Amino acid sequence: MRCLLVYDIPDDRTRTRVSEACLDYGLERIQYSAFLGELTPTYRRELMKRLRHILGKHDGKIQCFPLCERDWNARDEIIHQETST
Amino acid sequence: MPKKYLIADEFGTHIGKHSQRLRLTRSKTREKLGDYPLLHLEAVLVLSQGVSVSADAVQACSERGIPIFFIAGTGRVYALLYSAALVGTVSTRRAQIRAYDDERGVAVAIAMAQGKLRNQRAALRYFAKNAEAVRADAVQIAAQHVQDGIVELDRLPRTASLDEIRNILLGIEGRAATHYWEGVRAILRPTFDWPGRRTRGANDVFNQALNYGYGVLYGQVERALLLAGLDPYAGFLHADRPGKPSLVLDLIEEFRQQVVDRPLIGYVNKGGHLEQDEEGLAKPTRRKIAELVLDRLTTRMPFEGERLSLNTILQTQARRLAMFLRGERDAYEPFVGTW
Repeated sequence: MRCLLVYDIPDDRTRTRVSEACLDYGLERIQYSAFLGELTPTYRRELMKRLRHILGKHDGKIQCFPLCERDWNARDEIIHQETST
Repeated sequence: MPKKYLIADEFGTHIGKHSQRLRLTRSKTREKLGDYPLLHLEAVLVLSQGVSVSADAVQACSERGIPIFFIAGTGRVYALLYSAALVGTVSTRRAQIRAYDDERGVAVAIAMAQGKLRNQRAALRYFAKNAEAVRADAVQIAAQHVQDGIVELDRLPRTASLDEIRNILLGIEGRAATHYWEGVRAILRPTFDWPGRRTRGANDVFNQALNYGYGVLYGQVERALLLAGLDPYAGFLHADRPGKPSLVLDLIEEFRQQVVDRPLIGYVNKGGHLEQDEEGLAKPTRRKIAELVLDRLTTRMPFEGERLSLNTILQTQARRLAMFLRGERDAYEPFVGTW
């Protein structure tokens, strides 16, 4: 299922380790602290377990939202890119 | 879509490991070309010279059973890296060697030839449906000739020794192949001027493409056999010769049409381009063919009441062959795809 994973972690090292774990599971980075990708329920559980372990006693918040096709299709986007010459 | 294959087809690139991912970088500039999570990876293909692979990457791949194929410009797999621990299969190998001298060897050789011809017939009939009338007739006639070969195979005595019937078997196969390729020639767009099938040393683009595609498939078949505990060098239909993996050549016959011919013919007939340069097939073309073949292997099709990917079916056939040789199955049934 398609999942949106976002986090807010102040500690640099922990944050890097969390982002590495997301990339290891094939998630794609859509913002500095937001990842999107396909995860089977098993992989999702596995990843969350690993993230819980990485976060440990550090401050932070990690959330993973499954998105159904309908909700995904209803998403809105505003993307503006500065055209650099 | 998660990336299932890492294809390194550029000179001067490096495959390393970073966290739980393989990372492809340009050696000189350290520029990152791509990340491939090991979790989803099924194979690594090295298609170019000047590619380096780190020991860490090799270790990570072998621990997860991800094979690393090194493929030359002609499609020949010159090396296949695999876990060194896959050798504890003595009972299977013993059975495989012994089977050569009894009726099991004959049964396997005939079954695999049957599989090849039935797939050829099915392929021709499938393509005839989509061809215009005149060409469709030619293709149907070719299919009929292949059908004759199938009947001949059915009549072969199963009690003769392998050495006695090998030449007859190869004769039937050869005649069927001639008709099959005639049929394929009729299927290919008339504008695509194809001289007919040549194997080694072919210099026209479609034959080179076929050979390259078979090369890629060949590696996958070898892998399936190794995983099933079989010795790729001890075949039945193809005679022993030093350095010739005859069992790979035997088993590949059941899969050539489905995995290579069909996507390649489809690609060309839809106007896809195949390009050559001084060295043979152009790099982008090699990559394209590898992708066509690997994608095709992920296609699911009905197999004994289930829908399995061709990859899984290939592995299943290798396992069943091993079981038949060990005497755990009564018969070896060749794989005939649906079209």
